[in-house]
Amino acid sequence: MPKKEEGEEEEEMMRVRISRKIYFPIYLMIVVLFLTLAYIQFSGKEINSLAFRAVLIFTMGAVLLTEGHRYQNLYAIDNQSIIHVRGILFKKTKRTDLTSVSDVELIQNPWQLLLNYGNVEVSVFSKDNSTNVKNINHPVEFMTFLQGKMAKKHSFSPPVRAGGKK
Amino acid sequence: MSHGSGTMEVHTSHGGQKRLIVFSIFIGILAFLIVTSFYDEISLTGSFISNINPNSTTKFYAELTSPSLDIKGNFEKIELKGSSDSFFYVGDQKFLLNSKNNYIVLNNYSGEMAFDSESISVLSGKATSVVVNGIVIEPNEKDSIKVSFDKNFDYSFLNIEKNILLEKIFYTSSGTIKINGGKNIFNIEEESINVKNFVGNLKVENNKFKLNGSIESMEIQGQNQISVSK
Repeated sequence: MPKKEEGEEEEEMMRVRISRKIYFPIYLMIVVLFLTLAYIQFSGKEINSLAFRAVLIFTMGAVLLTEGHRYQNLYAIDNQSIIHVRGILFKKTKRTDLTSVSDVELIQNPWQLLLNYGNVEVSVFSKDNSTNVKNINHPVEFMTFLQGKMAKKHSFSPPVRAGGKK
Repeated sequence: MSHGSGTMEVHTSHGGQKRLIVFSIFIGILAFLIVTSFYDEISLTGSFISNINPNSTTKFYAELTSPSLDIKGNFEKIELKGSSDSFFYVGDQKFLLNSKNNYIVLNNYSGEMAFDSESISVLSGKATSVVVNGIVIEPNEKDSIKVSFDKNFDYSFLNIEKNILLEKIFYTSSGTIKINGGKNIFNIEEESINVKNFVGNLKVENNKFKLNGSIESMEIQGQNQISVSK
């Protein structure tokens, strides 16, 4: 579930990271390797020490890389903007003001639909600058939360007068 | 905090190339794991034997004093007679070998064996069936069982067959060597012999180290220097 930070009502925020479900094939590979090890052990065969080490290194490497990749991207929605923080040691933060968002689109393939994760495409008025929030858990909730924030932001925005000059 | 009409591009997808690399590594490790565990018959010894050209070998028979040897590989049959105060481990079972004339047969043995003229210091591997003093031990479901000694086994008879490969035998020995079915006979006395790529049967009996098979080349260095190769 995406995390909502509950403070004052105005400060309510949603933070999401890439879903671990996208690493399912890698986790499956690790499981297959360990099942093979178990089968070899069970059948009384000798496990080659080099192969055993290779399995351990692959497992550790896969876990570290997937977690590293996951922590490289953080998406957040606050009252003013949608935020994307990229990087672990060297962070790059980008904000898109909620008033500039024109459309929000949810895209899910059958696999994503089954596992309840997907992509949310946040379009700004200039279509070229649309934002793809990819592979997040509970994308419907994310989209609903974003639309709620956009609605609030629009309702609090001061009316723009024609001409705009004092 | 500024709230401009910022834009962002999100790149979260791995390239197909990265996926292919990860999958290739996985397949490689899985294949390595399976091959080294289930197909240990594919040993260096076996592949080496197939690389020896039969046309380049010479028939060889020798009865010599016994060297210290450490051999690894797959052997069709190993027979042992002797005694020891050690246990002989066969799978989950262990046999005390304190009687004087224990007779052990290992069928399709795969593993290591080290011995000198008197005792077997290392025997560690797997066999498809084992006979210990007439008791046959065969695996239930597994196709091989682990066998090992925990101490030296003093043997009076050792027979290893068939087509075992000894890449190099180099030691000072005495005895008789027959080449080409007895056409050439060499009697050596404390002379250095160097045999390359022996393939055949090995027997140690009555303190005689008997080799019967074929070799790629041989050198005897002593009073005279003799070289044999085809």
